Order: sequence, then structure tokens, then C-alpha cells
Amino acid sequence: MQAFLKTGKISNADKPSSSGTKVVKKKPPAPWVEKYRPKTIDDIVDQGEVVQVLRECLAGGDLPHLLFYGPPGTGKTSAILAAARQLFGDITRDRVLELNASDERGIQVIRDKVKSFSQLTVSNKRPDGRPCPPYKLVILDEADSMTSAAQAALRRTMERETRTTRFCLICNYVSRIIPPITSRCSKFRFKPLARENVIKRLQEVCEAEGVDVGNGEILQEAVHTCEGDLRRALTALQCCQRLIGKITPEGLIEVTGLVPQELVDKFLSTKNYSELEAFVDSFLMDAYSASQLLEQLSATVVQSGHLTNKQKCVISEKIAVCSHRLLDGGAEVMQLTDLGCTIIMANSDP
Amino acid sequence: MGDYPDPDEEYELMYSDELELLRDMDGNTESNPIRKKLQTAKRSLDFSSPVAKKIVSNERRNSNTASNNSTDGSFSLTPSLQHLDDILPSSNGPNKRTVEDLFGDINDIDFDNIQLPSKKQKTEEECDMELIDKIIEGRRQRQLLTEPSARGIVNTGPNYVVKENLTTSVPKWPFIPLKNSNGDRIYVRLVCEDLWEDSLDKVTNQLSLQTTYASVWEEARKIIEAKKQETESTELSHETGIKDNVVDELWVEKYRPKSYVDLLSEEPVNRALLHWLHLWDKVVFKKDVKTKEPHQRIAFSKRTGQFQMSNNWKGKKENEPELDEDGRPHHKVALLCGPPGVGKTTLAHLLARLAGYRPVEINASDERSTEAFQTALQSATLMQSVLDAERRPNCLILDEIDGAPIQTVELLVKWCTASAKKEEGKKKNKTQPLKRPVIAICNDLYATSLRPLRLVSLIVSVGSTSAARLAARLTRVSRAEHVRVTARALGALAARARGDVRTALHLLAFLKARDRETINVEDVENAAIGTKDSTTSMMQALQAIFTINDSEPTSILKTIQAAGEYDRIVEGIFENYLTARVDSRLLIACETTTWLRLYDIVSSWTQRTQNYSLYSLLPLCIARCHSLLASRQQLKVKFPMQAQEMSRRRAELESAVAAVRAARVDVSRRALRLDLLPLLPYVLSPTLRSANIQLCSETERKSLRACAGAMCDFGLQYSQQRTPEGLYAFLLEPDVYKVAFFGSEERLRPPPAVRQAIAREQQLEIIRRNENMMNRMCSKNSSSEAKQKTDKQTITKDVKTELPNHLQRLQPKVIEKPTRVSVSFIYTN
Amino acid sequence: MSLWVDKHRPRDLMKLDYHKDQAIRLKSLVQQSDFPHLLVYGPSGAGKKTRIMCLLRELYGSGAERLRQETMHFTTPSNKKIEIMTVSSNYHIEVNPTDVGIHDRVVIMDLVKNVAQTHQIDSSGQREFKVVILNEVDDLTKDAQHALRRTMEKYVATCRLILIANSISRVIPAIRSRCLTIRVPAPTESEIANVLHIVCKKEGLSLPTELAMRIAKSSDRNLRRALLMCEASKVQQYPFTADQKVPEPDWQIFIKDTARMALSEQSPKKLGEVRQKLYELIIHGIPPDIIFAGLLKELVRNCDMSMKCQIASHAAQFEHRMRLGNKPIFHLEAFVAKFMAIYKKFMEDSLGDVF
Repeated sequence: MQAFLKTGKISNADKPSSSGTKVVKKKPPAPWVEKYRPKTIDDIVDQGEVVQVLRECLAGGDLPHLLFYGPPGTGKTSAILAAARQLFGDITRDRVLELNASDERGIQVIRDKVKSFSQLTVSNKRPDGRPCPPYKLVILDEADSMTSAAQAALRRTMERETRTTRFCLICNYVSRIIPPITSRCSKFRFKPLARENVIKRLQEVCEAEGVDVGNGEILQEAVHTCEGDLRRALTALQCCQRLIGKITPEGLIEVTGLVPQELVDKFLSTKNYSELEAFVDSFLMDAYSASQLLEQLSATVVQSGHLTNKQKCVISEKIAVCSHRLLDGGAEVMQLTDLGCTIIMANSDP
Repeated sequence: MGDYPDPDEEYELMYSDELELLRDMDGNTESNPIRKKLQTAKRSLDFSSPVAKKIVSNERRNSNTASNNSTDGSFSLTPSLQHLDDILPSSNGPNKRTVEDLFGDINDIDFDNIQLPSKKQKTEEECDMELIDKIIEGRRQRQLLTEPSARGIVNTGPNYVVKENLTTSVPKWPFIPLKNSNGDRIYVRLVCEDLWEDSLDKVTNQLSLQTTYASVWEEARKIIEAKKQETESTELSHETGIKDNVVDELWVEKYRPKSYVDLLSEEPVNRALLHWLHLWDKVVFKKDVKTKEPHQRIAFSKRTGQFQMSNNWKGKKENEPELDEDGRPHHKVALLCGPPGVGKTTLAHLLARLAGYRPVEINASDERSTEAFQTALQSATLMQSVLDAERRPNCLILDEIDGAPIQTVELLVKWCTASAKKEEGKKKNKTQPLKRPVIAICNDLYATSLRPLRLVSLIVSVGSTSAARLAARLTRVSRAEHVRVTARALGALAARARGDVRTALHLLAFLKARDRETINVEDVENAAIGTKDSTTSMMQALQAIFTINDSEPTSILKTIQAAGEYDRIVEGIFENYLTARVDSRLLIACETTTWLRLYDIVSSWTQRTQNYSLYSLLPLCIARCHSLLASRQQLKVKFPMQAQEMSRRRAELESAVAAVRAARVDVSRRALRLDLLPLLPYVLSPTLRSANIQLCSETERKSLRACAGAMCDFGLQYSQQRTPEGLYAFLLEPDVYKVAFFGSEERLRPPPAVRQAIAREQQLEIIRRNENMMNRMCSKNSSSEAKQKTDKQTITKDVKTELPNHLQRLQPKVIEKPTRVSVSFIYTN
Repeated sequence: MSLWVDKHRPRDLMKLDYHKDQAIRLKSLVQQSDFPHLLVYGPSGAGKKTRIMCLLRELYGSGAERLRQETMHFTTPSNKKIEIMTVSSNYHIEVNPTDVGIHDRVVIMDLVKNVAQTHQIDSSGQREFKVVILNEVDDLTKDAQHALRRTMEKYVATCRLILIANSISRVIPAIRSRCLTIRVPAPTESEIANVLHIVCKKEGLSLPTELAMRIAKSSDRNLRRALLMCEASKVQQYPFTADQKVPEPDWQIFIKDTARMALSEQSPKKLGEVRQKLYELIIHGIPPDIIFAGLLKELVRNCDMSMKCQIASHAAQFEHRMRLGNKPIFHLEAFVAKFMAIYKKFMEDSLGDVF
């Protein structure tokens, strides 16, 4: 390590100029997700209601505190970022504080950073004299991962600084936000995106990147594997493009870590224990993820036509239990075996 | 010591004090209830017990005034001594002192008068009464002392007796050092019984020529009887009056033992401590103690067989010198330990006083940081009280030392031990060594912080008072307080207190405060207070878990909570539950493990989150195990050892794995554990037909080489070690065989000859590798790696110089580096 | 390196013995302008590390193979000094953050920061970034994983992370979505047998096909284990015979023994004996989840379906609880006790039916 660091340092000392320029020159290419994020709120796919509200406030109306919730990849962050950009233009940097889960968001940060930011007063003029809204915007992305203590610390700040600051909270599960906060915000639910809209958007991106996706089938597949999550679909497409050089359904499954549907079906139709044992072994040896299997299995079971309601109940319950145990760090092999046993029993007793 | 009066002066002072003391004893009646009980215990000891004949009792009760100075017949002295007592006051003739001396004496008494109330915290009336008593006593004493001086010339006999038997300087005859009420030191001669008999006869004859010994004895009896009746009557009369007297003194203070005989602790314990205190005499009072010891002992053992038993602790000690070269006791610190409330602090204070010291106490309420402690230590042991007219040396009592921080204890230990050497070097220097006794008091002898202290100190463990003894004492207290308590109730009280005098007294006071006519068993049992908490040991709790308790079915939870150490208890349950009950279907086992698992989860969660809201559930889990496992048959509960043993062995193997891993960081621990190490030994055990490499076939040589290479890769080596039988054996280090196999490792170990061959081959392999590397270095010779190269060259050189030396023990240093270097080419060869 | 596992490790992406199309993809990935963070996952002995080392060689040339072993020191916020062994070259550094237990977060943050703040040698200049390889990412604490995701974004300009995990289940989604995930399935038995043949050929030995298959079968699709077993059996007996004894890791045999013990008799006494064996396994550092899995596999052999079901569900439940607790032995023994109770009841019931 010492030598490792040393060599680096030496080169740095030797050629300060070149390394300085290099940093500027070699910026890693942005992920497609960032690159093709909607620039204006009109670019937002679907979500008519929210877009309308934002449009009105862009036209000069007041902005309430916002709480966006909905499944991942439906454009929550994109919407508010686009709105902020349109509202503040080039002073966005000064007027917007964006914190997401990867930043420290303990109660201390809420107390210090957020509070001091929100206490600043701002004028309704830009430096260049053009008008702009007389408030600042605090965006708390992935707010459901904030501790409830931190959320509680937020509520007073939200109320007191209404004059100068608007808050926008973004989360997947509104139930994880404490009621005092939800009651202070206007809530907007982001619907899962309509499939055709997602495909349309993907197609646009692929064209812009010059990637050949053939006819819509692959994209259909992509949307399907990503369950309507536009961001995931874009990420998957990019990874697939990178790794394989072209976009294929198999490649998509590979990069998203999905379990092939055949395996899910096979697991669901297990007949006896030895079969189950063999399946679990090979499944894990092939390095598939058990939690992913459970996720897909859950969807499959619910939609499945050949299972009775009773069977569905039994299996779904076990899936829930096993997912919980897996989250706690339980061994995959045990949980899969347990679930498999339940499936076998359910299968034999319709 | 210079401040001290020289022996002659002291003698004069002491002598008068002694007289006063004796008069004090006259003044004492049995109104102090404690005395009566103890006398029986003491009688068997005879006066050989150093303190039995000297009762320092400052206790004076308003019921008996100084006028009541007839001899207390029930006194715990032998008849002969009583006679002496009788004689002394009446025949003060031998006293040759001047009045001036006596004045000083009286001053002393006055001092006591001022001091006493503050110590005992009596009620005001009592104080006043006491003061008056004292003054009267003082007056009377002066009278007595001055008056008989005229006629004293007649009685030369007693003179001889007194003068020769009591002295303040160390006498030449067998003696026993004592302390009078002022804490001054006197020495009493020890003579054999016959001699005593003779001399006493002489005294009595001389004293009263007409009255015989028997008649005097008879007279004394009468007086005692009369006095008994008197006190009883006063007691009765008081009964009505005292009841409305509000006692604002805690009984614990009120009935704190004031003299040696009042002590509730076991006699050998008291003596052990007292003896140790006397060992300090040489340093503190500049008196030789040691030389006379044997005589004393012989004299004792001659007398009664009983005594020898209580003398055991002394006998044991005879082997080791009791004093070190400085004349200080071998143990510099006495460590008193025992459960709370058995009177450790009282014992320490009383004995220190008795041995002539001024007790200086440092307890948990004082600051105990290292600095504060040091100053306290120094001031207490090096200095002397100037204000106190008694000018006694200090005796430091460190109460509750188990709560002190470990640094403090270490300081104490260092100070105790290091000072001995210091003294030799700079005797004139002001830095004085520890020259005063230090008594440390603790509850838990095995507290970790006390470990260093345990080694250097005399450990005196004070057992809890037996219920019977405690009950007897309680009877006395209740009589003195005029509380009617049935005997059974007292018994129950004593049992409930479990040897804790303090608790028992509190409970008694509490019951009395309820103002009932009598206190009976139900009262005691229904009282919510007074159950002694804590100090149930882990093993007791464990035993309780496995036995059905019919009398108190719900007490198990309390027992568990008292024992604490839930983890150990659970381990104990785990190790014992399989044998607890007949359980052929394993249903109990399943249920028990369910609760044990729950315990584990809750306690882990508590530890992990540092959230103690569920902590109170832990004893419930254990209590549930009790309801599952308890049985009537006595189960021999084993002490939980397995878990510790497991972690020890695990750590052992862990270190072996870690050693291998240090050589191969690129392999993950799991892979090393599960794949590499279990199979590596097979590779390391090549089958050779002979140990001589020259005779080996090509394939054998190859496998030998592979083996040596693998050993280099994994940082293993054979080192030659001497076995207990005196043979040299090649042992693998780290021993991967142990890690890989479960008990069958010896099967696969190569025979010694092969091991030697492998060891040789490994050395060759190291050289080969280094040469290899050298060549590569030379061929590449890149400037950036010049430094590395020189490194490796030096290593190679090292190995080469080392080569002819076949002593394997020198290897470790050599091998470590090459293996590390070899790693740097993992993927290059 | 003299063990076959090390000696015959492929050093070039194109020379890998299986998953060849994946190798081609990795090669093409290297040739692209940007190189993403990687998350390589797969079971033990599948060849994750081999692939990564090949990849590094592809990125930096043979300089990446010049390895050093060093100890690094870190200080935790609570001022505790910790040290960790690292393997590094001029271009990359590899650590096993789980070695320091709960302090893994500190190691990750400091290490990546250190690496990222120093720039790469320009003259050799293929890449402007260095690589940090983190092992056993799935065993990192949640705290460390969250720290990792911040670090990944922050220092993306000067360093790339290659994360290695056995299973992706325990890696938080935020990390997964920031990495290009590469799945390395364990080699199939025939692939293993194939590799064994190749290695033996290189060693100049002849390996009977049946023996190769037997080794492959008993290696649990773990190539590392298979190669070691092969070498061990060579040391034990050569020339090979098709039916010679293949040495197996002793712990596997021991777990089987333990299970057999529980099957032979169901009584508290036997349970006590089983406990000693379980202790022994724990002492030898066998992870408790592996003991659990091994026991389950062996115990259910003679049971009927409903019993298997019961036992499996108990095993799953107990194993999960064990993760939450501190004393694996309690949970292991509880499982054995439960099994014995179920088994005994079943035996008595079936006997009762007979009479």
C-alpha cells in the first residue's frame, strides 16, 4: 500500500499540470438515467395531476410543501428537479438543497444543515434582475429512509420557515413518513408508468445513443423485466449495452440479476423433496439471488391461474416469512428449502 | 514516634488508665445485653484470649450509675481475675504517683467525655447523663487514687503483681499486648495457671486475713444477685416509660459493638486481624513482638485443647516469617471480605482502636481518583494527628475497596510492596515506606480490580453471622429496647436477614415502630422489607432453578435477579438441563431450548442496540426454565465450563488460522477454513518409502517438493522442539492438522523422519525461490524496483548464511520474510 | 506457488476454462472507454477471484500481478487502532474488510479515500483510475454498505471498486444498482472434471475419467476444493485408480457423523453427545449456517414428506433466529432436540400402528 500510494504521489508531484487538466478532461460518461432525465416538467411521462400543479406554480402561483410518493422509477425525483430548474434557472444551485439517502441525514444534519439553509431569506429577484419565486427549495429524496427522530426534527422547521422555504419529500412508502409531516404537505401519488409510454421513452433514448434495439420486442421485454420502473429499465439497457455490446433479452436478465422465469416456474411446480434439494443446490450454485426469486415468485403466484386461493394464501404467507428471514441474514439454502416444502405441501393439497 | 512519651512516662499514664479501666468494668452492669450472651463463648477461652480479660466498654447506661460499682459476677473473666479486679480498686496502695500525674489522667477522662457523645450519637439526655457519670467517675477515681496512697505501702504483694504483670514497655516475660479504653498500650504478663493460683491466693490472704477466698466469692455472688434483681426491676419500670421515648438513633449505631466481646464475628477472624495488627507493633511502637510469640503459644496450647483449634491460623503461619526484614508484617495490607452487614467495618474500627491506633477511614463516599487517594494515603499513614491529644498512630481503613478504580488499587499495591526496597536505599530520606497498618474492606474478594491486592494482603474473610447467634443478639437488643418479641419471631428474623446484622436490626426497629404489643412470626414474615437482596451466588441460583421450592414457589425470580450474571446462569442451565428430568420424548428439552433461544435473542438484541427496555425479560426466560426443569430429586449441578472451554479452544485454532492467513491474504477466510485447510494436510503428508531423499524415486521427490512448496506458500514450518521425554520432535507451526481434523489428525501426520525430510526440503525450496527471484530481478533491473531488489538480496544473504546451520529453531525469522516475498509473485511463476 | 490451485490458475481472460462468453464480454468491457464499478458474485470456488485478476491484467498489463502484502493501520472514531492485511500492486489494492468486524466502515471509507486521492502513474498511463477490490461484501455491516454507496459516487473519477460477494441477496439494492453485476455461476461437474483433466495433463499425470467425475461430484461444484482433493488423492495414492478413496474435508464427514448420531437414538443422553460434536464443529470455525445446512440435509433422509416439511421449516426458523442471537450452540442444539422429538414421536406412532 505504501508503495502504491507513493508512486501515485510522486507522479502527482512530478506532473501537477497534467493531472490537473486530466481531471477536467476525463469525466466519466454520465449514466443514461442522468443524461436523459427530463429537462422540463412537460417531459415527464404520465402523472398529469402533478405536472399540472407544478405548471401552475411555474406560471406564478405559490408552491405548497410537496410529498411525492409512488413506486420507484416513476419520475418523482425527475419531476421536482425539472421544476426546480425551471423555477430558478441558473441560480438553482443556491436555491435548492437536495439530500438523498446517501447523504448523512441524521437528526444532526436536519438540525444544522437543513435549518440553517431554510433560515436564509431570499429576494424575489435573480442577480440579473429577472423575477423568480421568493423561496428556496429543500428536496429530501428517499425520505422514508430517514429516522423518525430526524423527521420529527423536521416538522417544526417546515412550519416556521414556510415564508422562505418549500420542502419536497420524496418516498416510496408514504406510510413510513410520520403523520405530522404528511399533514403539512400536499401529497401526490405517482402512478406506475403506462407501458407504452415507457417503451416510447426507451426508444427515444436508444435512438439518441445509437443503439440498435430492433423492433419493440426487446424493449417490451425490458419493460417487463423491470416492472414498469423506467430508471431500472434504462440502467439495465445501459449495462447490457456495455457488457454485451448489444441488447438482448438474455443480456437484460443477466444484468438485472433476474431469475429466469423457467426457474421460477420449476420451483413452483416442485413435486418432491429430492427434486427440491437438487433445485435449491443448483439454483444457488448458479449464483442466483434467493430474495430475487422470492420477489418474482410472489408475482407469479398471485397471477398464477392453476393455483387455488388456498394454495396462494399458504405460499404467499411463507414467501413473506422467508423474505423477512432473508433480510435478517438467514441462510438462503434454508429459507428456500423451507419455502419449497410449503410449496410441495400446497401442491399436493389443492 | 518521637512525639510519643518515653516508655517510663507512658507506663505511668497507662497504669492509671488501667486502673480506670478496671473501675469502668465495675461500672458496667449487664444492662448492656450483649455481654451476657458473649460471656459463655469467651469462658472456654479462658483468659488466654488476649482480650477476654480486658473489656473496654465505654458504654454506660443511665440505668446504672457509677454508684453501682459492685463487681459484675457474670463477667467473662475467670474467678481468679475477678479477684484481681476486686482487689485492685480497694488496694490502690501500690500506686506511687503524684497528684500531678493524676491530673493528667483526669484530663484524659474529660477528653473522653467530650469525644464520646459525638461518636455514639446518643440522645441529648443520654449525653448529659453520661457526662455526669463520667465526671462522677473521674472524681471518684481521683479520690481513690489519692486516698489509698497512704495505706498502700502495706500491701507489697499486689504491688508486685500489678507492677510486674502490667507494663507499658515491652516486658521480658511472656505477655500479651492489650489496649485500654484510651487506646494506650499495656502489656499483661502471662503466667501459667498454677502460678496464678498461687499468687492469687497470696493476694487474697494478704488482702483480708479473716475472709477466705470462698467467703469473698460468696459475697460477690450475693452482690451480683442483688444487682440482677435491681436491674430487672428497673427494666420493668422503664418498660412503660421508655415506650413513648422516640429513639432518633439508628439501632445499628446504638448497638454497634463497643468492645471486643461485643463483636458478632467469629472469634478466629477477630483474632487473625488483631494478631496482624499487633505484628505492626515493631514498626509503629518500636516494640519487639516476635520473640515472645512462641512462649505465648506454648502457654496457650498447654491450657486447653480447644484453643488450639482457633489457633490454627497462627500455626499455619509459622512456616512463613510473619515479619519482613523491616520488621513490618509480611502482609502489608489486611483484606477483610465478606457479605454486607456482617460487621466488617465495625470490626476493623474496633480492633484498630484496640490495638492502639486511630482509625482513619476512606470509603466510597470519598474521592477515589488516584491522586486523591495518594494524598489520603500519605496523610493517613505518614502523618499523625496533632489535634488529637491521644496522639495515636493512624490505622488506615479503606472501606468498600472493591468499588475503587483499578488504578487506585494498583497504586496501593505498588506502594505497599515497593516501599520496602526504598527504605534500604534512603533511610534518611523523607519518603517513608508504609509504616502503618492498612485494612481494606470489600464485599467481593474476587472483584477483578482487587486481583493485585489479593496477592499481597492478608485475607481475612468474615463469614456471615449464624442465625442462632444473630437471634441471640437480637434478643438482647429487643430486651434493651423493651420490645416483646417471641423467640420464634426472632429466629425467623435472623433467618430472613441471612447473617446481615444490619438488616435484622433495621427490620426489628421497623417492627417496633409499628407499636404493637408483641411481635410474632407473622409480622416478621409479612414485613415487606428486610429480605436480603443480592449476594446469591450464581451457583446457588442455578441450584435453585433445578429444585422445586415448596415453601416459596415464587421466589425463583427474586433469586435469579439477585444472582445477576444471567449469561452464566443460562450457560449453567444449558449444561445441566439434559439430566434434570426424565424426558424420554425430549419435549422438555425442546421447550427449554425454546426459552434459551429466546433469551439469547433478547440479550443479543439488547447488546446490539444498547436498548435495555427488554432487559427485564431475561430473568423471566430463566424462571420459565425453572418451571420446566425443577424437580424434587437433588441434582448435582455442574459448574458451567463448556462455553469457556469452547471459546478457549476456538481462540487457539483461530490463531492458527490467522497465522496461515497472514501468509495468504488473498484467500478469503471462509475458503481457507472450509476448502484449503481441511485438504492441505493431505498434500503435506507425502508417503515416502524412506526418509533418505537420495533413495527416493522421482515421483516421491516431486511430491516432497510440492509439499515443501505448499508449506512455504502458507507460512508453515516444522520447528524442532524438545518433548517432555527429552527427545527432539518436529512440530508443525501453525498446526493446520488440528484445524483440519476432528480428533483424527494424528493418523495423517507424517512420521518424524519424513517431517525432517520435509523440513530440509523446505529450506532448499526457500533458497531456490530466492535465487529465482534474484535472476528475475537481474534480468528486469528496472529502476523503480531497485529498492525492492536490494531488499530481496539481503534476504537471500540471510538465508545463505543461515543455511549450514541445521538448527531448526532458528528458522522462524528466516522463513517469514521469504514467504512474504514469495507471495508477491503469486501469479507470476 | 506449488499447490495446483495456485500453480494452474489461468492468468488470461481468454484462457479461462469455462464461462468463456462471459470472458469475452469482460474483455470487451475493458476495451470500452469507461469502466464501471463491478459487483462480482457467485458461490465459493467458482472462480470469481481468478476472473478479477485476469481482468486486472487486461486493464494494466502484467504489472498488476506484482503483488505485495502489507498491513495497513486505521483509527476508528472511538480512537481504537485497527490493522488490516492488504494485497496490492501499483494499480490496485485488495482488502477483506470483514476481517475487522464491526469497524469495516472505517476501513472502507479511509481506504477508498486514500486510494482515490492519489493519482495513477501517468507514464504507464493506460487508466486514470485505480482499482479497489473488496472481498465478502455481502458480509459487510449495513452501515458499511451504506458508506460504500456514498464512497462509490464520490470518488468515481479516480477509483473503481470491484466488489466480491458470495450471494447478492445480502447486498443492498443501492449498491447493486450502482454496479455492473457479474454473475459467476459455479462450474458444472463436467466442467470441473474437464479442468481436472487439463491440470493433470499439465502435471504429467493420467487421471481416470471415473475418478475425475467422483472428485467433481464430491466437491460440491467448488473448483478450488476439487483441485485440492485431486492433489490430495494424488499424494495419497499414485498412480490413480478409478475407485481410490478421495479425501474429503473432515468437517463434512463430521457433520454427517453428528447427524447419524441424532438418527441412531433419540434421548437426552444422546443429545448431550451430539452437543459435544456441535461444540467441536464450532471450535473448528465451521460457520453455523453450514452446520445447519449439513445437518438438515442428512437428517431428513429417512423421513416422509410431512416430516421433512416440518423439519425444514424448523431448521429455517432456527437458523434465522441464530443469526439474531449470539450463541449458535443453543440454536443448533435446539434444532437437534426438535428433530429428535419429532422423529421419536413419528417412530412411536408408526410402531403403535403396527401393534
